[in-house]
Amino acid sequence: MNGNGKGGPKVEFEHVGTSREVDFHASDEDTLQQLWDKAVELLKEPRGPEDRLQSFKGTDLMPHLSLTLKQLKDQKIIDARKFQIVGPTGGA
Amino acid sequence: MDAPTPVQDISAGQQAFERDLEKALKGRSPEELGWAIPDSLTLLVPLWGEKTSGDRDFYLLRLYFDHYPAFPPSARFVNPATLEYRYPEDKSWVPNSPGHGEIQFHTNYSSGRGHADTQLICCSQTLEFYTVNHSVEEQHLWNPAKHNFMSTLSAIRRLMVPPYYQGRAET
Repeated sequence: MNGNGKGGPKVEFEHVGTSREVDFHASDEDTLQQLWDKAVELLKEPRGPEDRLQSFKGTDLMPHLSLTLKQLKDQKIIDARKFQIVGPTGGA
Repeated sequence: MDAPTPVQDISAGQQAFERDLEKALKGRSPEELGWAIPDSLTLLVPLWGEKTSGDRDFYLLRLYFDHYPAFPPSARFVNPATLEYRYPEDKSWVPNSPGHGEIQFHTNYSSGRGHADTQLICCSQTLEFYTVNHSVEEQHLWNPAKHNFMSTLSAIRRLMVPPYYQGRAET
């Protein structure tokens, strides 16, 4: 990650399967992948091979993992710094 | 493989719903989230469908926990005035969100296996997915050790945002 994020924006991650949450300060230049990695480390929940990241509103964020927090906001992909880690589903 | 057959267990459903509701609320009240709990097995959740234009439509999702936690909650969009769903008069209370590979909303699904036509939120995180004997890959099966009703809500929310949400169902 880019620095320790002290004083930067707070981000929140929820592991939906366990309802556990973590929050921490990040840097606007951190990528979503970096933030997800940090959240998994703090949550101490094993990452499933098909786990995915989405916004609380439901937007699929997997195509945007290389974007920084600032880019996600500037491109209006997210409107809050709250993310959900969700497992795989089948259907349709 | 075919989905396993659900077994109703009201007592287990009430207990697990109460337990998981407390986890989901994280100290907040249901009212703070806009949720309503009309009885010990039912959760009503308001949802908004948001189009690419930013226009939004209101929906009401009813979760019912009579097979929970061994199976996911029943999930249906309902008419907010009646809290029921009747086809075809209530079809506009179901979102039209085509094109997702893992979940789909049907206003009047027929399994062709002797089950009555019904609304179906076709996703392994809803009870109806199992009652219509939908085919499913093993890794997508509901697992009460890994899933709870928030998994159901998260899956449904994927279709309430761009690029999937198109408006109200018309057919």
